[in-house]
Amino acid sequence: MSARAFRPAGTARLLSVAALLLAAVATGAPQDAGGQGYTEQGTYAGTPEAFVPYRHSGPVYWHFYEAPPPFRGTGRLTAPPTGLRSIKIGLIAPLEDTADTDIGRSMYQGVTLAIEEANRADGFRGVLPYALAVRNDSGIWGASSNTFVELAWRDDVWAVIGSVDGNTTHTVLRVALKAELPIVNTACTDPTVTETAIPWILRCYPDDRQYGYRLARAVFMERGHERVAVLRANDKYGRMGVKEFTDAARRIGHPLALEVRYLPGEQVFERQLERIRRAKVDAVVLWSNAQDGARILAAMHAAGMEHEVFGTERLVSAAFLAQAGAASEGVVAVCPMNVEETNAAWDDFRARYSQSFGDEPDAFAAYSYDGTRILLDAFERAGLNRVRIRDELAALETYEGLAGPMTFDPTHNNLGQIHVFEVQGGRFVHVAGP
Amino acid sequence: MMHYHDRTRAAALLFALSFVSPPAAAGPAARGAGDDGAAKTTEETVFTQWTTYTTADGLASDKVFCVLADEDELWAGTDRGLARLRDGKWKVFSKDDGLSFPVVSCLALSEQTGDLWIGTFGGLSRFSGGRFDTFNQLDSGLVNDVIYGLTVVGDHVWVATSAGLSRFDVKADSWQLFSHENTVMHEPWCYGLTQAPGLLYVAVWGGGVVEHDLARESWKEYRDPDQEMEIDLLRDDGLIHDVTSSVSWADGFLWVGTYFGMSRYDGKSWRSYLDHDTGLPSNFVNVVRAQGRAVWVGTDDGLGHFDGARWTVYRRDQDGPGGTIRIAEEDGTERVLASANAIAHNFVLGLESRTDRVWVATAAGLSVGSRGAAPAAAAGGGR
Repeated sequence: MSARAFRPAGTARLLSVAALLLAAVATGAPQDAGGQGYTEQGTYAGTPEAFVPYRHSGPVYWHFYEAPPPFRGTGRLTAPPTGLRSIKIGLIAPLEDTADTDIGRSMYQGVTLAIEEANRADGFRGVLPYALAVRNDSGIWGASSNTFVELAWRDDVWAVIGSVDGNTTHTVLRVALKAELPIVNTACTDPTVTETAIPWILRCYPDDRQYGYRLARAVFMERGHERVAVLRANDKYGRMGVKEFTDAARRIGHPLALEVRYLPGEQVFERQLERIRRAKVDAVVLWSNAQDGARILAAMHAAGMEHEVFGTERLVSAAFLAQAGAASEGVVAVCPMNVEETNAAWDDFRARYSQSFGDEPDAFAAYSYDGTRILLDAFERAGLNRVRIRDELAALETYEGLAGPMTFDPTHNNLGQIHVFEVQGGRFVHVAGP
Repeated sequence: MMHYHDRTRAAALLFALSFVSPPAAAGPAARGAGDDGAAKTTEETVFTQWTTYTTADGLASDKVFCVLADEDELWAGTDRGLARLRDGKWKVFSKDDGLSFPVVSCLALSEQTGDLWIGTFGGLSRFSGGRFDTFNQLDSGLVNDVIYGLTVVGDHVWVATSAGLSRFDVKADSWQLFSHENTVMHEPWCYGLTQAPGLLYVAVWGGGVVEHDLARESWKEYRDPDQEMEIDLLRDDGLIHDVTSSVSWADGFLWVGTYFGMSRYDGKSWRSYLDHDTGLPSNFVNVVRAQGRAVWVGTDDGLGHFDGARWTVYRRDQDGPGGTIRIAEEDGTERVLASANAIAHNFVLGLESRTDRVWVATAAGLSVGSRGAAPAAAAGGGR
């Protein structure tokens, strides 16, 4: 770990405040406008300057998320309970009856491997084993809040890992505020999850801001496309995910030619593809999971559409390649890690993972393993006290994970490093770095 | 004992004074006005006497989420049960008594029937005639068991849950669901409710505030105009943030608590309050409670009161039992007074108020505030 890079106070910030105030006075703006900004620490969430909202509109009145949200409640002096037989950790993941079971399985396996390894090393401080309380994330409104209540007040877990779905993660986060229970998120990409100021979550998996920014650079700046259509899932993942890409495209002079939706699980895409064809775009961005994306590509392939297709990190999977087959050739997708990279730690992890589960780890498995390790390290440092565990998570600034280097911003969100892959010869090939 | 206790004084304060409904004020509050709009001195408006109840006094838990004052009873919802103060004694109600779940998040009283409605994280309970009835998503039309807000409008009990808004018609014994599927709600996560004449306001997590016209059954949405989570583009241009936590209406003002500051809507325009540009104790607003044309604000760093001109902020010293009262006037002058006792904790979760009394649910107990002798000025006050 290193010293936190984002500091809310200091001489440089005061100077920047003074400069902005002077600028406000000079332009006739209200004197109390634009009182702070990201001059010292760069833009929020590492947003490229060209993608910053309202950057031509003069001083913004107030920037949120400049400092980590504190927790000012009670509980730091609460003594650990006696008579424990294990340290329970909750896991909420889509394990059955949803379209995201591939992701859920990777999460479960990554978390399980980390906990099994910790227990082989004598568990919590050498005295107690860790145990996993697993719950399915059905993705149904409200179900996840009931699940989190169970974990918090019936299972007495010390922290929760999960989930993938943005709705689920938001609802459990709101309960976490009342339960005062730390959450480590290893798979959700909804940017707003860590933008609620609730100080009980750390997310190690990069979000759709980062994918949107990297895709916008790849589509418009690196590959030179001008007219682009988005075909997205008509759910929270598609709705929240595409926003930053859409905004970034507009801000650099390429407003989307078309945004068209499909229902998750939909089998026929004639209507959507016809609209894309009529829009005369030169590229299509898919905001979908692997299964839906594969079906869409197959439909495009069958319809003779030769647009360059871009996709999110959910496409970078063996399941997508297997299902899309030849139609996947040439697809460009972003990924929160370089799965092609070879180093001893990753190779060793791949071997251990394969030995345990019989398949190859993907990004979700790697991040879930890393997130669990981050949590277990916090347990070791803090002891059995939820608030102190939260404090340890909140103090994390950087982390060298198997998935790559992590940099946490003041919202406790890993900005990550987004790589670009292209399907060449039936496999994803790394074509560009962050 | 970490907290201040004076059960004798508490009982006297609670029951010796009758509750007075806040009268309607005709215009904006004058500087230094009380909640009734009449000009008062600082000594007349600040609350200097605080009494705290904890588990040592019979509360179910020190973590108190909500409080409700009835004529001769005080109810407190905690993370370990519901507690009632009557005749100076606390009684705790648990699942064994019929309460649907021990985590009690909100309370509402039916003026028609006198029934107490109890929102928990495991369903809805009704306390009537000494008996609990339970409603949950498996045996009733309640949309979700995790409840954050309640209000009773005539025969209708409105319930804000993680999965939408449920309306229970007590007379007809029927339920109706309102969510993003059949209203303008951006999201179905409902966290707070308040009534205005003919209207219902809902704090929707990530969806701003939704206004429901009860007669027309129409819906209207108020959102952060800049539509960006990370900024407030222009001051007073609308709701300060879409992540809302609490709403409260009185005398023409809708107050909205968010974790990014507070907003006020007068039916025509919005006003924003942040901790750097007003006396708001903290931008993390857990609860707002309108009273007349004033508002009580419960934050993670103290209790605030704003009468339209003057901010008064109550905080407990780190080691207690005393605290400070910071008074900031509209002209920028500020004074800090020392108080011998203070709220139980600066992390305020729930509020109830009358003209001469405020009940403060905190992370470390339930405090009751009343006006008393003027405290001494503390060092550092004034500018």
